[in-house]
Amino acid sequence: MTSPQRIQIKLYTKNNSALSKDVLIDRFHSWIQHDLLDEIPIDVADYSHVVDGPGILLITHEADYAFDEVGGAGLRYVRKKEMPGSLEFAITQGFLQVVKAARLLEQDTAGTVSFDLARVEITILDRRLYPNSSATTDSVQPVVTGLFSTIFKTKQVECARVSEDARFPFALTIRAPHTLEIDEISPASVSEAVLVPSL
Amino acid sequence: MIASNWKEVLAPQTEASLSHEIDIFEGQIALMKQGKLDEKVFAETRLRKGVYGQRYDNGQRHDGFQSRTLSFPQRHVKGPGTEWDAPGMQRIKIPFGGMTPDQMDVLAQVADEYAEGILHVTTRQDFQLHYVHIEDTPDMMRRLASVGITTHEACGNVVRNTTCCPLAGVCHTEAFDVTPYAKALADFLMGHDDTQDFGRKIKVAFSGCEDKACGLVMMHDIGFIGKTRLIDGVKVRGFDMYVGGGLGTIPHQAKLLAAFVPEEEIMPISQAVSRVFARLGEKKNRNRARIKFLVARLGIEAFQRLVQEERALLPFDDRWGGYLEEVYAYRETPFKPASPLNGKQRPEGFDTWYRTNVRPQPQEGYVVTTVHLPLGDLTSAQMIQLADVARKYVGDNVRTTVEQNIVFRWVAESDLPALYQDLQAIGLGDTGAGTIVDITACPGTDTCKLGIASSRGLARELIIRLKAKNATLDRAIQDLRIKISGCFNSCGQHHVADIGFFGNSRKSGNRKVPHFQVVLGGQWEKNAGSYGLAIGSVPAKSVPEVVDAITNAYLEQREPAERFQDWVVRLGKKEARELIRPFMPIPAFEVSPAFFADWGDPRTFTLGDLGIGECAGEVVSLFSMEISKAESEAFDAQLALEDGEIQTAAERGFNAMIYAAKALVRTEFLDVGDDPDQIVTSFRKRFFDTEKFFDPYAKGKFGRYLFKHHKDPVENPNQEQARQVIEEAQLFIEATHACEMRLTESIQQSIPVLPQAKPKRKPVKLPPGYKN
Repeated sequence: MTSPQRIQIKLYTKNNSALSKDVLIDRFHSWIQHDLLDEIPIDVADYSHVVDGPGILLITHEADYAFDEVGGAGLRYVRKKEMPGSLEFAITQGFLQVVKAARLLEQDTAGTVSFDLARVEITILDRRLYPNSSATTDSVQPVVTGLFSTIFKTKQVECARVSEDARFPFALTIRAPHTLEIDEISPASVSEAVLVPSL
Repeated sequence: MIASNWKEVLAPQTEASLSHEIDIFEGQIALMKQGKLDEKVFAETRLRKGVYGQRYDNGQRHDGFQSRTLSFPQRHVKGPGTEWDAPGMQRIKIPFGGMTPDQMDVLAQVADEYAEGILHVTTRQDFQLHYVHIEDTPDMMRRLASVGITTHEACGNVVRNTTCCPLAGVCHTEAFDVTPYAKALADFLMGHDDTQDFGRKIKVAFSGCEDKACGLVMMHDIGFIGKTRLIDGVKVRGFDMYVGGGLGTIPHQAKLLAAFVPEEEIMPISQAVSRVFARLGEKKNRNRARIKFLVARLGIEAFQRLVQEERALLPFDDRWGGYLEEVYAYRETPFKPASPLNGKQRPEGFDTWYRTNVRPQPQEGYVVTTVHLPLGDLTSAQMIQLADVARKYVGDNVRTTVEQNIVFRWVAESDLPALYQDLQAIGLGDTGAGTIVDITACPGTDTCKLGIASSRGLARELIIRLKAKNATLDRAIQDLRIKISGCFNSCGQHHVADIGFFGNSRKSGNRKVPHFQVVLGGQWEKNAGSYGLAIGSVPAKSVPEVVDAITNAYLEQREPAERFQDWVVRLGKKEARELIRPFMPIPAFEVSPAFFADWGDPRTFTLGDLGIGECAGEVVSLFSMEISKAESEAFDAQLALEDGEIQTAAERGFNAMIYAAKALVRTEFLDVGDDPDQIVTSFRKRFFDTEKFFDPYAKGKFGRYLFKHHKDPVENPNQEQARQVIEEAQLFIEATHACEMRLTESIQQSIPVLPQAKPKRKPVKLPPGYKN
């Protein structure tokens, strides 16, 4: 399947634990100052005043990182530059990036937040290639289920469409049957998931 | 089958002319990438499509320790000093603020696919999206064009979005609904041959009332106030037409160009004004290229004569009167029948929301409700949900406002409780529209290239603090307006706020401190009928206390029913300054390092790594002493103006400039003496001709104020002329501060210093396979 123009992946924190905006702004600036990102950093943006908004964003040339509380506190990664290759490649690479950032945030906040990877939300921000429709669900859902079955090493992956309103972007929520720590996810297996048929 | 691109998908539903414009722009992008277009030409081209630059687009950013190069992949530019890959801002025109739910849906969709999922309502009823990549803009424009929205001439040296009172047509005090006139004139002037050769932009506004804030006509390049007259027993419509208003660095009140202009003349006279402006307006010096400067230079009588002459020469255009058929056919259709609120159960919080966010219409049973957007922002998801709320209650009767909100018109009163609950459910049920918690702020340092201080950061902080105590605030305080600009360019409209702020900076030792100039007593009513005056600059971190001090003093000292503007006038600027004086000192860095960073930004507020050197220390010390005389003189000039000593006010304004120039000259030439001629000569030779004094954006603009008043002192000035001298003196002083800072930095940078160490941080342990 074709790589979309934008893809968004969100991980959620355990127990809905959150961070204050001051801490987030400070940490995100620190990531820029200490070159902790793979991308070209641009700035930190504060949308904490917007209800259910993007919270605090770390904006880079290739992608944005945001910590928000929409549907639960968590870290959102938005890949803005189209990734060459397939949808599957875009999802797995995006997943690796957000897991890496989540790990960074866990360590950088001395455990104030920790992530449970058992719930992941994937949004495809490309209404032309991936309209929010039943047809898209029929074609994408099995692919995503397969990918995360490999990544989570279980067949018991639930994958559900978030909204049927065609004005909203196509999005899926993926759930594993049990809590998953970041350390339980192997980057190699994530990369290989693209190549492995679903379990 | 999936279409290969948006052009193909949307072609059937897009107006051919809009589609053609976008195709041309897409072609120009391709040419620019091949190096076949001049960068300045391309810059103006993209600006005219609303594709604007954004902070850091020169590829440099200071991370708090050092200035860094943003190594974007593509090396070409999209304008002088503007990196191709740097994200930019997209402005989207919404003429008179009117939009439909279908348009709202598409606005939301382009915001989440091409920007950060945030839509920002501007002070000109536009939308802005930030962090947009230029190569996404043609598709974005096509999607907008498919629902009748254009970005054409949203920026650039053209006629910008035409604004209009958001209550036009549903207002108790208007002469008539000016909406269809605003729409017709916006259509007429967009892309018109006579509006393509300006030195700078023209902003147009329409009002239906004279006394209310309405369309803020007095601060516009061209403004119309609807009037009616009885002629032979028939009520006839016309417009008082104003020209030459504007905020910016030097605010001007618009002048009456012609009273009661007939409906069929508003287009040709606007066209004639455009021609005069294109022919005689400044083209080289952008800082003096607005109509207000042309009107000031020629005088309104000469300008009127030129416009009349130009009007007489215009070839007839049948659109001049042709549009009136549409005007008289224009009707807003209520979506639901009128019905009273009586007896409806009111949910919690409803009464407060009703007081601040609901206005009765003259049409019985209907009200206007304001959707209060914090800092003008809403998310894509909220916009889609809001479109559905509009479909449920008001249909197409939705408008943006210049106070960065959205209004629903023609709401049936009985629907209010349900509407309130629906807005609350999507996070848009905020109370306080048009009150002290509804703060207007320009983008400032968040995204604007010209921002000096964080207007939005300050606004966020003030909103949090004021909301926390809003319920206990006196009504007189609740109803005040605060407006904040990140620099002197007034995009946050600080001149017309009760309490306004604009960003600047000061030095403490060798460190910079973000500051805000306090501007009190601007008038929102009477179409922005008068502007506030600056009373002094305070550290950004002291502003919340300054707001408390000012509002408390007003509450304690005001006469019964005395308005804020009247209290400020009675208080006088000297006393007003005394109110903020306790907050002006800057604490030592070691005591309060937070003062040396801006709101919401932990980076040290500096443009370079400044070391501490004796040389610079002495220079700063001497300069600080000298410049304080200039500031004091400027303040005394204001007092003289207030006391009606017009001549003295103008003289002292000029003296303030001389003192400031002397302060700067003495950093290089101690024996300059006190002779103004000698000071001006030295200033010109050492700082102006060498361009050391030049602001990166304003260039030599502020220096020319000194030369102008030195060469041609204003004789027998009127109040407005004296006021202008003082305003220019204040700007000259600000520019002198900025120049001194730049010079000190360059001295410091020439001295080898050890790099400032970054604070050590714990190494981050990542799982195997993750790169750090």
